[in-house]
Amino acid sequence: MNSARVFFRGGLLAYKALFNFKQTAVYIPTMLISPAFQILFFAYLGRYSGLADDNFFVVGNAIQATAIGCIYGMVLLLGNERQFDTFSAVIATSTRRGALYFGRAVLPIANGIVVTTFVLCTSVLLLDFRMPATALPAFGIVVLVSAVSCAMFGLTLGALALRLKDIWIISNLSYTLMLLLCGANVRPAVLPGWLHAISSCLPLTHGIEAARKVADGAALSQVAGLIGIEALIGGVYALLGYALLRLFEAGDRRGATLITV
Amino acid sequence: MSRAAVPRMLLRGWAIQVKDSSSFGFFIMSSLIEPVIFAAIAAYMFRAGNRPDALLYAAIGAGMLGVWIVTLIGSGQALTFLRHAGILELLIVAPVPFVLVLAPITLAAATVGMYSLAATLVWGWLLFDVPLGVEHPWLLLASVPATVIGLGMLGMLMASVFVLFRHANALTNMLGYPVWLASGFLVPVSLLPDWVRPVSWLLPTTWGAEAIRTSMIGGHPLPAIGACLGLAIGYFALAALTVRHFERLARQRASLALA
Repeated sequence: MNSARVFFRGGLLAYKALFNFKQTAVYIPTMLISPAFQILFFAYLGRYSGLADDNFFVVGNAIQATAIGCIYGMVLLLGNERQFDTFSAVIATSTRRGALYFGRAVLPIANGIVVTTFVLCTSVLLLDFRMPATALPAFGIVVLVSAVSCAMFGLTLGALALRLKDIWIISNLSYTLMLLLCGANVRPAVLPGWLHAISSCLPLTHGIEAARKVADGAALSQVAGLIGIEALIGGVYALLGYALLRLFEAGDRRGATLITV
Repeated sequence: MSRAAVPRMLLRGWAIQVKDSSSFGFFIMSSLIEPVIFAAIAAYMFRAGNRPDALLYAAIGAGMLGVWIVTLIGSGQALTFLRHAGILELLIVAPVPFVLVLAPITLAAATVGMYSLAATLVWGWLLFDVPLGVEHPWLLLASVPATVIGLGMLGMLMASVFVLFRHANALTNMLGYPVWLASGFLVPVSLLPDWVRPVSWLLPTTWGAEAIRTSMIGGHPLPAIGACLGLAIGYFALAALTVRHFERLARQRASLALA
Protein backbone atom coordinates (compact mmCIF):
# COMPACT_ATOMS: atom_id res chain seq x y z
CA MET A 1 0.00 0.00 0.00
CA ASN A 2 2.80 2.39 0.96
CA SER A 3 4.62 1.70 -2.33
CA ALA A 4 1.46 2.37 -4.34
CA ARG A 5 1.07 5.66 -2.46
CA VAL A 6 4.66 6.63 -3.16
CA PHE A 7 4.25 5.61 -6.80
CA PHE A 8 1.14 7.70 -7.50
CA ARG A 9 1.12 10.45 -4.89
CA GLY A 10 4.89 10.82 -4.87
CA GLY A 11 4.85 11.08 -8.65
CA LEU A 12 2.18 13.77 -8.49
CA LEU A 13 4.04 15.74 -5.81
CA ALA A 14 7.30 15.51 -7.75
CA TYR A 15 5.52 16.76 -10.86
CA LYS A 16 4.02 19.70 -8.98
CA ALA A 17 7.30 20.63 -7.36
CA LEU A 18 9.87 19.97 -10.06
CA PHE A 19 8.29 20.22 -13.51
CA ASN A 20 9.21 23.72 -14.76
CA PHE A 21 6.60 23.77 -17.53
CA LYS A 22 3.47 23.13 -15.47
CA GLN A 23 2.08 26.70 -15.44
CA THR A 24 -0.41 27.27 -18.24
CA ALA A 25 1.55 30.28 -19.55
CA VAL A 26 4.57 28.03 -20.04
CA TYR A 27 2.85 24.74 -20.82
CA ILE A 28 0.84 25.96 -23.81
CA PRO A 29 3.69 27.64 -25.75
CA THR A 30 6.29 25.01 -24.88
CA MET A 31 4.41 21.72 -24.81
CA LEU A 32 1.62 22.37 -27.32
CA ILE A 33 2.36 25.24 -29.72
CA SER A 34 6.04 24.45 -30.29
CA PRO A 35 5.50 20.78 -31.29
CA ALA A 36 2.55 21.80 -33.49
CA PHE A 37 4.87 24.17 -35.36
CA GLN A 38 7.51 21.42 -35.45
CA ILE A 39 5.08 19.29 -37.47
CA LEU A 40 4.21 22.21 -39.76
CA PHE A 41 7.91 22.89 -40.33
CA PHE A 42 8.79 19.32 -41.25
CA ALA A 43 5.62 18.79 -43.31
CA TYR A 44 6.47 21.83 -45.43
CA LEU A 45 10.11 20.76 -45.61
CA GLY A 46 8.85 17.37 -46.76
CA ARG A 47 6.70 18.96 -49.45
CA TYR A 48 9.65 21.03 -50.66
CA SER A 49 12.10 18.13 -50.64
CA GLY A 50 9.57 15.86 -52.33
CA LEU A 51 10.46 13.09 -49.89
CA ALA A 52 7.01 12.04 -48.73
CA ASP A 53 3.45 13.22 -48.14
CA ASP A 54 2.13 15.03 -45.05
CA ASN A 55 1.01 11.78 -43.39
CA PHE A 56 4.62 10.57 -43.17
CA PHE A 57 5.78 13.67 -41.30
CA VAL A 58 2.65 14.15 -39.18
CA VAL A 59 2.68 10.59 -37.84
CA GLY A 60 6.47 10.56 -37.37
CA ASN A 61 6.63 13.89 -35.58
CA ALA A 62 3.47 13.27 -33.55
CA ILE A 63 4.98 10.11 -32.06
CA GLN A 64 8.32 11.87 -31.65
CA ALA A 65 6.48 14.68 -29.84
CA THR A 66 5.78 12.31 -26.92
CA ALA A 67 9.45 12.94 -26.15
CA ILE A 68 8.71 16.54 -25.23
CA GLY A 69 6.60 15.28 -22.33
CA CYS A 70 8.57 12.16 -21.53
CA ILE A 71 12.18 13.30 -21.90
CA TYR A 72 11.87 16.83 -20.54
CA GLY A 73 9.49 15.57 -17.87
CA MET A 74 11.76 12.83 -16.60
CA VAL A 75 14.93 14.91 -16.84
CA LEU A 76 13.31 17.74 -14.88
CA LEU A 77 11.66 15.46 -12.31
CA LEU A 78 14.97 13.80 -11.52
CA GLY A 79 17.62 16.40 -12.43
CA ASN A 80 15.87 19.20 -10.56
CA GLU A 81 16.21 17.27 -7.30
CA ARG A 82 19.89 18.04 -7.53
CA GLN A 83 19.41 21.59 -8.83
CA PHE A 84 17.00 22.41 -5.97
CA ASP A 85 19.19 20.66 -3.36
CA THR A 86 16.42 18.22 -2.44
CA PHE A 87 18.06 14.99 -3.60
CA SER A 88 19.59 14.33 -0.19
CA ALA A 89 16.12 14.35 1.40
CA VAL A 90 14.86 11.95 -1.28
CA ILE A 91 17.54 9.35 -0.76
CA ALA A 92 17.35 9.66 2.99
CA THR A 93 13.89 8.07 2.87
CA SER A 94 13.43 4.37 3.42
CA THR A 95 10.88 4.08 0.61
CA ARG A 96 11.24 1.42 -2.06
CA ARG A 97 13.26 2.97 -4.84
CA GLY A 98 11.26 1.35 -7.65
CA ALA A 99 8.07 3.11 -6.56
CA LEU A 100 9.96 6.33 -5.89
CA TYR A 101 11.62 6.60 -9.30
CA PHE A 102 9.16 4.87 -11.64
CA GLY A 103 6.20 6.72 -10.09
CA ARG A 104 7.67 9.88 -11.53
CA ALA A 105 7.11 8.56 -15.03
CA VAL A 106 3.30 8.46 -14.81
CA LEU A 107 2.57 12.14 -15.43
CA PRO A 108 5.30 12.64 -18.06
CA ILE A 109 3.79 9.66 -19.96
CA ALA A 110 0.31 11.20 -19.70
CA ASN A 111 1.81 14.49 -20.82
CA GLY A 112 3.45 12.89 -23.85
CA ILE A 113 0.12 11.36 -24.88
CA VAL A 114 -1.64 14.73 -24.49
CA VAL A 115 0.99 16.42 -26.68
CA THR A 116 0.66 13.73 -29.38
CA THR A 117 -3.14 13.96 -29.35
CA PHE A 118 -3.02 17.75 -29.61
CA VAL A 119 -0.57 17.84 -32.52
CA LEU A 120 -2.53 15.17 -34.41
CA CYS A 121 -5.70 17.24 -34.05
CA THR A 122 -3.98 20.43 -35.23
CA SER A 123 -2.50 18.50 -38.17
CA VAL A 124 -5.98 17.43 -39.27
CA LEU A 125 -6.96 21.11 -39.28
CA LEU A 126 -3.82 22.60 -40.84
CA LEU A 127 -2.34 19.91 -43.09
CA ASP A 128 -3.44 17.15 -45.47
CA PHE A 129 -3.41 14.56 -42.72
CA ARG A 130 -6.06 11.88 -42.62
CA MET A 131 -6.28 8.61 -40.72
CA PRO A 132 -9.20 6.16 -40.79
CA ALA A 133 -11.22 6.19 -37.56
CA THR A 134 -10.92 2.40 -37.41
CA ALA A 135 -7.15 2.79 -36.95
CA LEU A 136 -7.53 4.89 -33.80
CA PRO A 137 -7.58 2.08 -31.16
CA ALA A 138 -4.43 0.45 -32.56
CA PHE A 139 -2.82 3.86 -33.00
CA GLY A 140 -3.62 4.65 -29.37
CA ILE A 141 -1.84 1.49 -28.23
CA VAL A 142 1.24 2.40 -30.30
CA VAL A 143 1.26 5.89 -28.78
CA LEU A 144 0.98 4.48 -25.25
CA VAL A 145 3.80 1.95 -25.70
CA SER A 146 5.99 4.58 -27.38
CA ALA A 147 5.37 7.08 -24.58
CA VAL A 148 6.22 4.52 -21.88
CA SER A 149 9.36 3.47 -23.75
CA CYS A 150 10.42 7.09 -24.23
CA ALA A 151 9.79 7.86 -20.55
CA MET A 152 12.13 5.01 -19.61
CA PHE A 153 14.77 6.54 -21.87
CA GLY A 154 14.00 9.80 -20.04
CA LEU A 155 14.62 7.97 -16.74
CA THR A 156 18.11 7.09 -17.95
CA LEU A 157 18.75 10.67 -19.07
CA GLY A 158 17.30 11.95 -15.80
CA ALA A 159 19.75 9.77 -13.89
CA LEU A 160 22.59 11.25 -15.93
CA ALA A 161 21.18 14.74 -15.31
CA LEU A 162 21.85 14.20 -11.61
CA ARG A 163 25.52 14.36 -12.49
CA LEU A 164 25.35 17.43 -14.77
CA LYS A 165 25.47 21.14 -14.05
CA ASP A 166 23.11 22.08 -16.88
CA ILE A 167 20.16 19.72 -17.26
CA TRP A 168 18.88 21.57 -20.33
CA ILE A 169 21.82 20.51 -22.47
CA ILE A 170 21.10 16.79 -22.13
CA SER A 171 17.34 17.17 -22.66
CA ASN A 172 17.58 19.56 -25.63
CA LEU A 173 20.32 17.57 -27.29
CA SER A 174 18.49 14.26 -26.90
CA TYR A 175 15.26 15.70 -28.21
CA THR A 176 16.96 17.21 -31.26
CA LEU A 177 18.98 14.06 -31.98
CA MET A 178 15.80 12.00 -31.88
CA LEU A 179 14.41 14.18 -34.69
CA LEU A 180 17.24 12.84 -36.84
CA LEU A 181 17.63 9.30 -35.57
CA CYS A 182 14.15 7.97 -34.76
CA GLY A 183 12.78 8.05 -38.28
CA ALA A 184 10.38 10.93 -37.64
CA ASN A 185 11.68 12.79 -40.70
CA VAL A 186 14.24 10.56 -42.37
CA ARG A 187 13.86 6.81 -42.71
CA PRO A 188 16.62 5.15 -40.64
CA ALA A 189 17.59 3.08 -43.70
CA VAL A 190 18.76 6.29 -45.40
CA LEU A 191 21.21 7.06 -42.58
CA PRO A 192 24.82 5.79 -42.55
CA GLY A 193 25.27 2.35 -40.97
CA TRP A 194 26.50 3.56 -37.59
CA LEU A 195 23.67 6.07 -37.24
CA HIS A 196 21.20 3.39 -38.31
CA ALA A 197 22.57 1.12 -35.58
CA ILE A 198 22.11 3.84 -32.94
CA SER A 199 18.65 4.55 -34.30
CA SER A 200 17.52 0.94 -33.81
CA CYS A 201 18.55 1.09 -30.13
CA LEU A 202 16.55 4.24 -29.41
CA PRO A 203 12.95 4.43 -28.23
CA LEU A 204 10.32 5.67 -30.71
CA THR A 205 12.10 4.32 -33.82
CA HIS A 206 9.97 1.16 -33.91
CA GLY A 207 6.96 2.97 -32.51
CA ILE A 208 7.06 5.47 -35.37
CA GLU A 209 7.34 2.67 -37.93
CA ALA A 210 4.40 0.85 -36.33
CA ALA A 211 2.33 4.03 -36.16
CA ARG A 212 2.88 4.75 -39.86
CA LYS A 213 1.75 1.22 -40.77
CA VAL A 214 -1.32 1.48 -38.55
CA ALA A 215 -2.20 4.89 -40.02
CA ASP A 216 -1.94 3.26 -43.48
CA GLY A 217 -4.50 0.64 -42.45
CA ALA A 218 -2.44 -2.20 -40.96
CA ALA A 219 -4.06 -4.24 -38.18
CA LEU A 220 -2.59 -4.33 -34.69
CA SER A 221 -1.47 -7.93 -35.19
CA GLN A 222 0.59 -6.88 -38.21
CA VAL A 223 2.64 -4.46 -36.12
CA ALA A 224 2.80 -6.55 -32.94
CA GLY A 225 6.47 -7.33 -33.59
CA LEU A 226 7.40 -3.66 -33.83
CA ILE A 227 5.39 -2.81 -30.72
CA GLY A 228 7.11 -5.67 -28.90
CA ILE A 229 10.57 -4.37 -29.83
CA GLU A 230 9.57 -0.86 -28.75
CA ALA A 231 8.42 -2.24 -25.38
CA LEU A 232 11.61 -4.28 -25.04
CA ILE A 233 13.78 -1.21 -25.70
CA GLY A 234 11.76 0.67 -23.07
CA GLY A 235 12.36 -2.20 -20.63
CA VAL A 236 16.11 -2.11 -21.22
CA TYR A 237 16.21 1.66 -20.60
CA ALA A 238 14.08 1.20 -17.46
CA LEU A 239 16.66 -1.22 -16.07
CA LEU A 240 19.57 0.97 -17.15
CA GLY A 241 18.02 4.13 -15.68
CA TYR A 242 17.16 2.41 -12.43
CA ALA A 243 20.64 0.90 -12.16
CA LEU A 244 22.26 4.29 -12.78
CA LEU A 245 20.08 5.95 -10.15
CA ARG A 246 21.00 3.32 -7.57
CA LEU A 247 24.66 3.54 -8.57
CA PHE A 248 24.74 7.34 -8.26
CA GLU A 249 22.83 7.15 -4.99
CA ALA A 250 25.35 4.71 -3.56
CA GLY A 251 28.23 6.83 -4.89
CA ASP A 252 26.78 9.95 -3.29
CA ARG A 253 26.41 8.21 0.06
CA ARG A 254 29.92 6.80 -0.12
CA GLY A 255 31.60 10.00 -1.25
CA ALA A 256 29.41 12.40 0.80
CA THR A 257 28.73 14.31 -2.43
CA LEU A 258 24.95 14.62 -2.08
CA ILE A 259 24.81 18.39 -2.46
CA THR A 260 27.62 18.78 -4.95
CA VAL A 261 26.42 19.99 -8.35
CA MET B 1 29.31 60.52 -21.15
CA SER B 2 31.06 61.87 -24.24
CA ARG B 3 29.95 60.80 -27.70
CA ALA B 4 33.46 59.66 -28.51
CA ALA B 5 33.19 57.04 -25.77
CA VAL B 6 30.10 55.39 -27.30
CA PRO B 7 31.84 53.31 -30.01
CA ARG B 8 34.47 52.18 -27.51
CA MET B 9 31.79 51.15 -25.04
CA LEU B 10 29.82 49.27 -27.68
CA LEU B 11 32.92 47.48 -28.90
CA ARG B 12 34.14 46.55 -25.40
CA GLY B 13 30.67 45.44 -24.33
CA TRP B 14 30.28 43.35 -27.46
CA ALA B 15 33.71 41.71 -27.07
CA ILE B 16 33.15 40.82 -23.40
CA GLN B 17 29.70 39.46 -24.12
CA VAL B 18 30.91 37.35 -27.07
CA LYS B 19 33.62 35.89 -24.82
CA ASP B 20 31.14 35.23 -22.04
CA SER B 21 28.55 33.58 -24.30
CA SER B 22 31.22 31.52 -26.04
CA SER B 23 32.03 29.83 -22.75
CA PHE B 24 28.40 29.03 -21.95
CA GLY B 25 27.67 25.37 -22.72
CA PHE B 26 24.05 25.90 -23.66
CA PHE B 27 24.98 28.55 -26.26
CA ILE B 28 27.66 26.31 -27.69
CA MET B 29 25.19 23.47 -28.02
CA SER B 30 22.59 25.75 -29.61
CA SER B 31 25.06 27.37 -31.99
CA LEU B 32 27.33 24.47 -32.94
CA ILE B 33 25.61 21.12 -32.37
CA GLU B 34 21.88 21.58 -32.91
CA PRO B 35 22.21 23.41 -36.26
CA VAL B 36 24.41 20.59 -37.55
CA ILE B 37 21.73 18.06 -36.56
CA PHE B 38 19.10 20.09 -38.43
CA ALA B 39 21.46 20.43 -41.38
CA ALA B 40 21.83 16.64 -41.40
CA ILE B 41 18.06 16.14 -41.33
CA ALA B 42 17.61 18.59 -44.21
CA ALA B 43 20.47 17.07 -46.19
CA TYR B 44 19.15 13.51 -45.86
CA MET B 45 15.67 14.71 -46.76
CA PHE B 46 16.92 16.61 -49.81
CA ARG B 47 19.07 13.68 -50.88
CA ALA B 48 16.33 11.09 -50.46
CA GLY B 49 13.78 13.44 -52.04
CA ASN B 50 14.08 15.24 -55.34
CA ARG B 51 16.57 17.94 -54.37
CA PRO B 52 20.07 16.52 -54.06
CA ASP B 53 21.34 19.77 -55.64
CA ALA B 54 20.07 21.87 -52.73
CA LEU B 55 22.65 20.80 -50.13
CA LEU B 56 24.39 24.20 -49.95
CA TYR B 57 20.96 25.77 -49.60
CA ALA B 58 20.31 23.34 -46.70
CA ALA B 59 23.67 24.09 -45.04
CA ILE B 60 23.10 27.87 -45.16
CA GLY B 61 19.46 27.52 -44.07
CA ALA B 62 20.30 25.23 -41.14
CA GLY B 63 23.07 27.62 -40.10
CA MET B 64 20.56 30.44 -40.04
CA LEU B 65 18.25 28.32 -37.84
CA GLY B 66 21.02 28.32 -35.26
CA VAL B 67 21.67 32.04 -35.68
CA TRP B 68 18.02 32.74 -34.91
CA ILE B 69 17.84 30.37 -31.91
CA VAL B 70 20.94 31.81 -30.27
CA THR B 71 19.72 35.37 -30.89
CA LEU B 72 16.32 34.43 -29.53
CA ILE B 73 17.71 32.93 -26.34
CA GLY B 74 20.55 35.40 -25.84
CA SER B 75 18.52 38.51 -26.55
CA GLY B 76 15.06 37.45 -25.47
CA GLN B 77 16.34 36.64 -22.02
CA ALA B 78 19.16 39.21 -21.84
CA LEU B 79 17.51 41.26 -19.11
CA THR B 80 16.52 38.12 -17.22
CA PHE B 81 20.15 36.96 -17.27
CA LEU B 82 21.31 40.37 -16.00
CA ARG B 83 18.65 40.28 -13.32
CA HIS B 84 19.69 36.81 -12.16
CA ALA B 85 23.34 37.88 -12.16
CA GLY B 86 22.36 40.73 -9.82
CA ILE B 87 23.82 43.48 -12.00
CA LEU B 88 20.69 44.89 -13.65
CA GLU B 89 20.28 47.62 -11.02
CA LEU B 90 23.91 48.69 -11.38
CA LEU B 91 23.61 48.92 -15.15
CA ILE B 92 20.36 50.88 -14.94
CA VAL B 93 21.82 53.51 -12.60
CA ALA B 94 25.06 53.81 -14.61
CA PRO B 95 25.44 57.16 -16.42
CA VAL B 96 25.40 55.39 -19.82
CA PRO B 97 21.96 55.21 -21.48
CA PHE B 98 20.68 51.69 -20.86
CA VAL B 99 19.94 51.15 -24.54
CA LEU B 100 23.71 51.39 -25.18
CA VAL B 101 24.31 48.74 -22.52
CA LEU B 102 21.76 46.39 -24.06
CA ALA B 103 22.84 46.83 -27.70
CA PRO B 104 26.24 45.07 -27.39
CA ILE B 105 24.61 42.20 -25.49
CA THR B 106 22.09 41.47 -28.22
CA LEU B 107 24.64 42.09 -30.98
CA ALA B 108 26.94 39.60 -29.27
CA ALA B 109 24.14 37.01 -29.16
CA ALA B 110 23.67 37.38 -32.94
CA THR B 111 27.44 37.18 -33.41
CA VAL B 112 27.72 33.94 -31.42
CA GLY B 113 24.80 32.69 -33.50
CA MET B 114 27.02 33.08 -36.57
CA TYR B 115 29.09 30.15 -35.28
CA SER B 116 26.14 28.08 -36.49
CA LEU B 117 26.61 29.17 -40.05
CA ALA B 118 30.30 28.33 -39.92
CA ALA B 119 29.52 24.96 -38.31
CA THR B 120 26.93 23.88 -40.89
CA LEU B 121 29.06 25.02 -43.84
CA VAL B 122 32.12 23.15 -42.57
CA TRP B 123 29.93 20.11 -41.78
CA GLY B 124 28.47 20.15 -45.31
CA TRP B 125 31.90 20.46 -46.87
CA LEU B 126 33.40 17.67 -44.75
CA LEU B 127 30.62 15.10 -44.85
CA PHE B 128 28.52 15.87 -47.90
CA ASP B 129 31.09 17.38 -50.27
CA VAL B 130 29.10 20.58 -50.44
CA PRO B 131 31.23 23.05 -52.40
CA LEU B 132 32.14 26.15 -50.41
CA GLY B 133 32.70 28.51 -53.31
CA VAL B 134 31.62 32.08 -52.69
CA GLU B 135 30.20 33.95 -55.66
CA HIS B 136 30.53 37.45 -54.14
CA PRO B 137 33.15 37.32 -51.33
CA TRP B 138 33.13 41.07 -50.64
CA LEU B 139 29.38 41.16 -50.45
CA LEU B 140 29.46 38.16 -48.11
CA LEU B 141 31.72 40.21 -45.85
CA ALA B 142 28.99 42.86 -45.84
CA SER B 143 26.11 40.38 -45.54
CA VAL B 144 27.32 38.78 -42.31
CA PRO B 145 27.63 41.99 -40.24
CA ALA B 146 24.41 43.33 -41.76
CA THR B 147 22.65 40.15 -40.59
CA VAL B 148 24.24 40.40 -37.14
CA ILE B 149 23.14 44.04 -36.82
CA GLY B 150 19.61 43.28 -38.06
CA LEU B 151 19.17 40.37 -35.68
CA GLY B 152 20.87 42.21 -32.83
CA MET B 153 18.42 45.10 -33.11
CA LEU B 154 15.41 42.79 -33.31
CA GLY B 155 16.92 41.01 -30.31
CA MET B 156 17.07 44.30 -28.42
CA LEU B 157 13.38 44.90 -29.07
CA MET B 158 12.61 41.35 -27.87
CA ALA B 159 14.73 41.84 -24.77
CA SER B 160 12.83 44.93 -23.75
CA VAL B 161 9.40 43.43 -24.48
CA PHE B 162 10.02 39.94 -23.09
CA VAL B 163 11.19 41.28 -19.75
CA LEU B 164 7.62 42.35 -19.05
CA PHE B 165 6.54 38.70 -19.22
CA ARG B 166 7.33 36.53 -16.26
CA HIS B 167 7.72 33.46 -18.46
CA ALA B 168 9.86 34.88 -21.25
CA ASN B 169 11.54 31.49 -21.72
CA ALA B 170 8.21 30.03 -22.86
CA LEU B 171 8.01 32.68 -25.59
CA THR B 172 11.53 31.87 -26.73
CA ASN B 173 10.61 28.17 -26.83
CA MET B 174 7.63 28.97 -29.02
CA LEU B 175 9.25 31.33 -31.52
CA GLY B 176 11.82 28.95 -33.02
CA TYR B 177 9.92 27.03 -35.70
CA PRO B 178 7.51 29.84 -36.76
CA VAL B 179 10.41 32.18 -37.59
CA TRP B 180 12.33 29.36 -39.31
CA LEU B 181 9.32 28.86 -41.54
CA ALA B 182 8.49 32.53 -42.12
CA SER B 183 12.13 33.39 -42.93
CA GLY B 184 12.39 30.77 -45.65
CA PHE B 185 15.52 29.19 -44.15
CA LEU B 186 14.87 25.71 -45.53
CA VAL B 187 11.48 26.04 -47.22
CA PRO B 188 10.83 28.87 -49.69
CA VAL B 189 8.22 31.29 -48.34
CA SER B 190 6.35 30.95 -51.65
CA LEU B 191 5.28 27.44 -50.55
CA LEU B 192 3.59 28.82 -47.43
CA PRO B 193 0.16 30.48 -47.25
CA ASP B 194 0.11 33.97 -48.83
CA TRP B 195 -0.37 35.80 -45.53
CA VAL B 196 3.07 34.62 -44.34
CA ARG B 197 4.85 36.69 -47.00
CA PRO B 198 4.32 40.18 -45.45
CA VAL B 199 5.36 38.74 -42.08
CA SER B 200 8.59 37.44 -43.63
CA TRP B 201 9.40 40.91 -45.02
CA LEU B 202 9.46 42.29 -41.46
CA LEU B 203 12.02 39.77 -40.27
CA PRO B 204 15.74 40.56 -40.61
CA THR B 205 16.27 36.78 -40.63
CA THR B 206 14.59 36.63 -44.06
CA TRP B 207 16.86 39.28 -45.54
CA GLY B 208 19.96 38.09 -43.72
CA ALA B 209 19.52 34.55 -45.05
CA GLU B 210 18.80 35.92 -48.52
CA ALA B 211 21.89 38.16 -48.42
CA ILE B 212 24.21 35.36 -47.29
CA ARG B 213 22.68 32.84 -49.68
CA THR B 214 22.92 35.08 -52.75
CA SER B 215 26.45 36.15 -51.78
CA MET B 216 27.49 32.50 -51.74
CA ILE B 217 25.37 30.85 -54.41
CA GLY B 218 24.93 33.79 -56.75
CA GLY B 219 22.40 36.56 -57.30
CA HIS B 220 22.01 40.12 -56.05
CA PRO B 221 22.69 40.42 -52.32
CA LEU B 222 22.68 44.23 -52.13
CA PRO B 223 18.88 44.73 -51.84
CA ALA B 224 18.74 42.13 -49.06
CA ILE B 225 21.68 43.76 -47.24
CA GLY B 226 19.92 47.12 -47.54
CA ALA B 227 16.64 45.68 -46.25
CA CYS B 228 18.44 44.10 -43.31
CA LEU B 229 20.10 47.38 -42.32
CA GLY B 230 16.87 49.34 -42.88
CA LEU B 231 15.00 46.99 -40.56
CA ALA B 232 17.85 47.30 -38.05
CA ILE B 233 17.34 51.08 -37.91
CA GLY B 234 13.59 50.61 -37.46
CA TYR B 235 14.00 48.01 -34.72
CA PHE B 236 16.61 50.15 -32.95
CA ALA B 237 14.20 53.08 -32.86
CA LEU B 238 11.40 50.87 -31.52
CA ALA B 239 13.73 49.23 -29.01
CA ALA B 240 14.94 52.63 -27.75
CA LEU B 241 11.32 53.50 -26.96
CA THR B 242 10.48 50.19 -25.32
CA VAL B 243 13.71 50.13 -23.28
CA ARG B 244 12.93 53.62 -21.97
CA HIS B 245 9.38 52.48 -21.17
CA PHE B 246 10.70 49.40 -19.35
CA GLU B 247 13.18 51.52 -17.38
CA ARG B 248 10.48 54.00 -16.36
CA LEU B 249 8.07 51.24 -15.30
CA ALA B 250 10.76 49.43 -13.33
CA ARG B 251 11.73 52.63 -11.49
CA GLN B 252 8.08 53.53 -10.77
CA ARG B 253 7.15 50.09 -9.47
CA ALA B 254 10.50 49.36 -7.87
CA SER B 255 10.30 45.98 -9.60
CA LEU B 256 13.75 45.84 -11.15
CA ALA B 257 15.06 42.98 -9.05
CA LEU B 258 11.86 40.95 -9.15
CA ALA B 259 11.66 37.84 -11.29
